Amino acid sequence: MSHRIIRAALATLMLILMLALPGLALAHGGHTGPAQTFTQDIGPYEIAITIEIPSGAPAPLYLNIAPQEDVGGVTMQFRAVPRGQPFAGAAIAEVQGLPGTQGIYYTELAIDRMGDWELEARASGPRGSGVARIPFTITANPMPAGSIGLFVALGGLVVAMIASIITSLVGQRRTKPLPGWLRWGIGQAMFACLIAAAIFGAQQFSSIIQNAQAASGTIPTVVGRPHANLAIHTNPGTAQASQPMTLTLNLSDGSTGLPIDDLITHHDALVHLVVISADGGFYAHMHPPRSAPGQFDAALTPDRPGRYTAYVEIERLDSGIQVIARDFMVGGTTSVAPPTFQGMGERTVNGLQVHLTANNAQFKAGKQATFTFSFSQQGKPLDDLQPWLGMGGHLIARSDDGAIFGHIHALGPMAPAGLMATGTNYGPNLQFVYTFPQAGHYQLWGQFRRAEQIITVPFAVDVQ
Amino acid sequence: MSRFIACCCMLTLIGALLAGCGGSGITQSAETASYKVQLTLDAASFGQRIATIEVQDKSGKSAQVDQVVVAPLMEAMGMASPEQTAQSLSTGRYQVQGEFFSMLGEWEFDVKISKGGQEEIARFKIPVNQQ
Ligand SMILES: [Cu+2]
Ligand SMILES: [Cu+2]
Repeated sequence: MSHRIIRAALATLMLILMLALPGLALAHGGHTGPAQTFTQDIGPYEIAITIEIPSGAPAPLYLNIAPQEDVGGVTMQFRAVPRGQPFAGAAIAEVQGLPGTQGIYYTELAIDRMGDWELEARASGPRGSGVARIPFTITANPMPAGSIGLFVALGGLVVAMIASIITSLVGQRRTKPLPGWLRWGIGQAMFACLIAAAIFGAQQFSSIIQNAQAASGTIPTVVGRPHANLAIHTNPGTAQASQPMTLTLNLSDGSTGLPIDDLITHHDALVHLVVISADGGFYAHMHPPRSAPGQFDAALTPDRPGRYTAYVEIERLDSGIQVIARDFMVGGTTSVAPPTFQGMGERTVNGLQVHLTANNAQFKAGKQATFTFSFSQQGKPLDDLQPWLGMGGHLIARSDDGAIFGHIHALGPMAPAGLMATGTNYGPNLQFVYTFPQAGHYQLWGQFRRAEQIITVPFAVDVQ
Repeated sequence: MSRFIACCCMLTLIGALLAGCGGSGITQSAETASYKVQLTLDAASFGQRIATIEVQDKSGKSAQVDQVVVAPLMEAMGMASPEQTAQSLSTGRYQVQGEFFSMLGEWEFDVKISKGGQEEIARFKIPVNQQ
């Protein structure tokens, strides 16, 4: 009989634990979560750093470092200080990059207090070096009063169960049965703990539901933040074709004019920067590192003179995603031929065959278009595409006049963050759905990742 | 007493399991200017799904229309699935099969009904919480 109680109690315990564990929340909004991924170009190396935010301090700060490309011979260094304090003297964690297929590197730092922090990430290797300063915040995560009761009751239940197992074992060994009051007492204690756990568990569960309802309620608790303005500077002041340059982005609040330092990650980066030359022949999708509040520095080498547009995609805390576009000029001369954009059909990119098809032979404004990329190598379909920025594929669409900037994602679930992402693969087909909002000529770039390389597939369409 | 506890626990467990997995089919109704529309999905999850749509006029009679198109959309992530035209089973009854959902979360499932060049859209909200 007592075995049955134990089994029943175990089942209840599992059930309560299941209910008590908060559900995974995946949404925009951006208040500090347990793990946040920051993809940044640290010098020439694109590295996705996942910070596991501790729920209190002092605590270890675990870093998962996922290079998006080969980092053989690259030294990566990390240190963290409370925001605003100098980095000099802070403890350094160092990681050596290995050549070939990249997994995830782990390291940790120590955090001694809660509040706003800044992580400095440096990378230096054969192709160059760079630095990024990543902001993160540690907030206290107090246990709700109900949880304390729940854990006390669960603890009591476990103790009573162990006592029950011991007494039944002892009882089997002894010829004289144990006194009835002992078994009765343990049974009663177990029952009391069970009832208490059920009550506290139900309370916890209903508060989780209430929070979820409040979060999805029709009345917003936050109304969003002011818009952002973007100032850009080039260094050198007059950039030259075929010469390396730095494009500095300065983001400021549209109402106060102060630097914006409340950016949250969306698609695993604080800033997605797309730089496109007027003719579409130069295209770069980058994740510039943060160097100071509101400031991001992108290193690039434009290959032709003329007008360029920088599209900066950001998400402020409690606000939606916004894209701000600014133009800059590049001087000099070049021998680069004007680009020729292919339409649908097959092409070879990075040694792979990419077959592109659409649902319609003609594209019309306001009518849905579906693009399918099929990847193969020597006739063999490829299903080993890797997630990049949490997705199987990204597609950037731009109208010739630069007025429309589309950022479309491949159909399919998002990849899990950190270590889990390494087991996620996509292919051979990746599908994008987009409705061109106005007629015109559009240039598009599909972007994918395979074997630690970003594959960019440019094409163009006419929309009637 | 212990038998009573065991029974309670088992019932709770069974209840929780039923609440978690049971009843995966979804039926919802919506109205447009001219139609009453009922949408039935075999499940709100990933993979090939079957949507059955019943279109009636305001008096409740099965309506004869030119075309019924379904357009799933996840607004929060800015992700649209390909639109698909439903096949007519009988007057006012349509069915379409496809991979409508590819992410967890709340999807909007638009049913576009056209007749004589006029289009009306019935909007449904489908919570997708299983892969
Ligand atoms: Cu990006
Ligand atoms: Cu993207």
